Amino acid sequence: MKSKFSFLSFCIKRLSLILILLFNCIVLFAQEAEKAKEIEGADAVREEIQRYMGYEPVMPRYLTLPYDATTNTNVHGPFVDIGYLFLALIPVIFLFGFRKKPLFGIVSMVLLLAMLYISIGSGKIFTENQFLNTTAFNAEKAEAALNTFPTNFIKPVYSWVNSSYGGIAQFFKKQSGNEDGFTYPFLFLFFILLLFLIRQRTLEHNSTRRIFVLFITFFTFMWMLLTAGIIWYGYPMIALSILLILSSIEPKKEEEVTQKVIRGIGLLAVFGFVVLSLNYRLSNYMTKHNEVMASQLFDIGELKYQSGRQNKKQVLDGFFQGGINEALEKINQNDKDLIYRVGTVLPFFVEKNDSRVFMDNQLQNFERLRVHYNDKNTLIEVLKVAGYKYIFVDLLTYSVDKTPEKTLENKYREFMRVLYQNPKVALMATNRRINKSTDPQKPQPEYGVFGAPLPGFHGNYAIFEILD
Amino acid sequence: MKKIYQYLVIAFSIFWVSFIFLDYLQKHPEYAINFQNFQFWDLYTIILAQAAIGGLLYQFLKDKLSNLFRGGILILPGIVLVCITFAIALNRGTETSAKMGEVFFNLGNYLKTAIQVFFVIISAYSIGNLAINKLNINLKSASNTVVSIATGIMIIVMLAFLIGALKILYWFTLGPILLACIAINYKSVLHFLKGVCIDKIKPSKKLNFLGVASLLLLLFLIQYNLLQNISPFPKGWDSLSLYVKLPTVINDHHGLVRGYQPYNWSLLMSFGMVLFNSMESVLALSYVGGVLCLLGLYAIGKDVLKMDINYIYLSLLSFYLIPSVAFQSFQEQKVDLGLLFIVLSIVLLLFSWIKDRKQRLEENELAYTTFNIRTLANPYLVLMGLLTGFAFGIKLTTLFTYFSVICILWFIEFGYIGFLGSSMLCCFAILLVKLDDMSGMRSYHLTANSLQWVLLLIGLISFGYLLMKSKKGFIRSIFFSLVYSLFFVFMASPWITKNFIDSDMTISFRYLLNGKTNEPPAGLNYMKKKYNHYLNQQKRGNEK
Repeated sequence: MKSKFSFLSFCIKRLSLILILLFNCIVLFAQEAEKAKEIEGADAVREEIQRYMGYEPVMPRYLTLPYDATTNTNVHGPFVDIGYLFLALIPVIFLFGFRKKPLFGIVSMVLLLAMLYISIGSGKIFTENQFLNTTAFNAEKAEAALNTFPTNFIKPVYSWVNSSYGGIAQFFKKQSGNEDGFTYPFLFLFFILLLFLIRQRTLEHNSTRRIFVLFITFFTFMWMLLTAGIIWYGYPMIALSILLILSSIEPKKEEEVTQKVIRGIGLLAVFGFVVLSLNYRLSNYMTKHNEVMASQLFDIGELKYQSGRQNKKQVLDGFFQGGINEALEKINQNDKDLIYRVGTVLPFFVEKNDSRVFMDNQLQNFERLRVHYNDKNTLIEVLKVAGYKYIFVDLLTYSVDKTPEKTLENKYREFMRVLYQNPKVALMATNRRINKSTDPQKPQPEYGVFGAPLPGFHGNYAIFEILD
Repeated sequence: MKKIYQYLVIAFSIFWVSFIFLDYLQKHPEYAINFQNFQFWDLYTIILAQAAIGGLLYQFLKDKLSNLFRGGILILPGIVLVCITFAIALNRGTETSAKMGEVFFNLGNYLKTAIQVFFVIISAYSIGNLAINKLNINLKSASNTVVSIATGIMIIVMLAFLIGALKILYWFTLGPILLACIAINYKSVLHFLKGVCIDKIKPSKKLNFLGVASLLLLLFLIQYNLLQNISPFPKGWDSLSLYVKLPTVINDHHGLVRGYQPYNWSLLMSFGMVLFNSMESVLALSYVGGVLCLLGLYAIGKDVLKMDINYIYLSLLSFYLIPSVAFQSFQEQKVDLGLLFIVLSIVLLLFSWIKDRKQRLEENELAYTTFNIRTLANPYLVLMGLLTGFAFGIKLTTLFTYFSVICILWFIEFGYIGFLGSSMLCCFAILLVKLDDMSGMRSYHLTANSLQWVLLLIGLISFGYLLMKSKKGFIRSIFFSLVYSLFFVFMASPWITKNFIDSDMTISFRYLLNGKTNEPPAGLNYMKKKYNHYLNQQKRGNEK
């Protein structure tokens, strides 16, 4: 008995020592994080990271995350597209499990509908090649724009949400706005409520399944809390949820009618997803959403390389037209010349790029320099004195900006103003083509950055040389 | 009431699924555009037909065809399908007919890349399998393969880390290590290869048309994705900017590169350049993460969830068809799928450990409450910790997995109260170290600083209750958490040490996690200093 007691006290002493050390480390880290925050540009994080989550008031920003992750209206593209299966089937499977405890099921149903309502209300609708806020959507105007097969069916829902959501939107704006004190407590309470519901829902399941569900739940909660909706940080929850969904709709030995119906609905959804996604997969994700996407399997340059018709240099020239190889040849001649990079991927092709390239994708650093050195000639001279010889620019930098304040767009405009007609810089290469002719009847296309880009030739890169 | 609820659920389900489906289509017009303009109905038909015919042949002639169920035989139709796909793509894409020579040229490159990647994976399997055998970890067949590969990848990457730290990462240093990894456990490798290529596959009795068709579609997609990795350089933004850039820089330096967040998977990808000087292999070593995930999911479906085999294949197909996953398999070669594979291995080990723990406690109730090596070095927990640390060295988001595992460790001992208490304490730690600031969201929450103490309080109250409820169980859970955490930290420490050295021994949260790169300076203070110095020099020159 005594030995057991001394063993316990030994354990507790050791553990408390470890805990104190751990606590000290954590506090030290917390202080460091605070310092790091001061150093980091808050704007850059807002522009780059938070765009996935959207910029609505704080509370709906979190509440709409599952919907946003499915509809991708904040940031659109295959890289964030996870399909509709998760949002469509997980709630259905969850509700079905409450057939012996209908009250919990009804509460869950109400919660789900409320979340869907808020998600649609603070979300966006696709109209005429752009996403428009649901609250700003005009039913009359939308008639023509929204004449597509899926919209025709669900338009009444959009119209109803549009007409009724205004007050709630105002409420969120006023109470939650850009910062609030109740979203975090609410989210944690919601998590505890969810745990309670999961407990009720999985009472009849074996412990393996319960553990599986809890693992996914906590992972998902942290994903919601910490990642601003970046989907690939949540791949484990996606992968494991797929297994959970399919294992829930697989045939069971004894099935009730409801179970059969749910299984039927589930299988239909899965087959629809497979057919759609396979079709989409057999198109070229790279190109924009137009008919070209569906007429190519691979990129043409890639095909030519694979078949031996072109070498790497030729393929590169095809990808980045406008003199990329010549420019890179010159840049790679002297590996001491530094490069100021704004967003483009081209440093990949520069030798010793780890020590030659300064990255300023969100123009955070450049903005500080610009504010300090007002004159654009001086600014370029400052770069030159520091050893910078080239400036790489992504001509689509502004398109990343989804902030309501358009901070990145403004910084980009100012940045381009510094380069515009600056005698101290020379354009080396770009794939933008502009019309140099004053006669609208006789367009004179030429590679250039400043001027109206010709349709289809907006381009995505430019390389400037800082002159001696 | 129950009957009414059932009808209500059916009505709700029909509404919900239909609405989400239509809403999704409304917001993804690319699907409709693609259907309207799709030019590859012939290929689409071929793919679906091969799956359907394969499924039907299996359904009705499985007894007569059973001799043909060998991995090696399945490769042949796969190769034919690759050639057909490429020829169709080349014909339409370039509007010049594909020549036989071009198709074979591509096939040669394709097979070369596949073999190179297979070599790396098989050496990982070999050494990993040896390690888990030595550790006495008993896993079912599918789980064993998955955990062996994951463990092996961890071992060979850490070996590469060591030789990379010495700046001697060349083909003549890394190559022999990988060959030695195979040689040291060659019997298992031969057995594995025989099983994969020559031995007759014994499919589950439940396997039917659905499973076979899904599997054949999946095999096509695996090949199709690899085909698109035969490229002279990556195409995605992130891969060009970081994830594929790093392997090329590692190859240039013949060792580790200064700075960056830990990059275990990029180090693995660098084998493509170091060993074979092939960009295709670098890309394929990113792509292989996705294929390994399929193995991991298969093992979880089979060994953990005990799913119907047909639904496992359908799950794998659905997962691999998710556009975001596909995108990372051929367009944007990153490390997330590799990370996912390691996480899936951790999940497999977690469930195997739960089983093992149950058995040990049945044998001896006091197991885990005494200090001895066998208890502290429980191989399942140790390997879980090591793999979590390794995953942390791929991406810092592994912390989500780490915290989730910790909560499960408390759940299995104390149920929901244990889960609630541990999850609140984890959230307290998250808020205390301001992990939520990484996404910049912290500043929008005015009560976060007070809330963290409330979470601590809830956690401590729950833990106090648990301690009163069962001291033995409490100590057990503390042990589990500590052992797991200790090995997690152990495996993450090489990167933290590297970053510490890279940042000139600066103790800073930011530098310990991100390191300090070779990037040239361009901050305002530096520029001011440089420019003022230049102006002074000019001034002095003018005065002279």
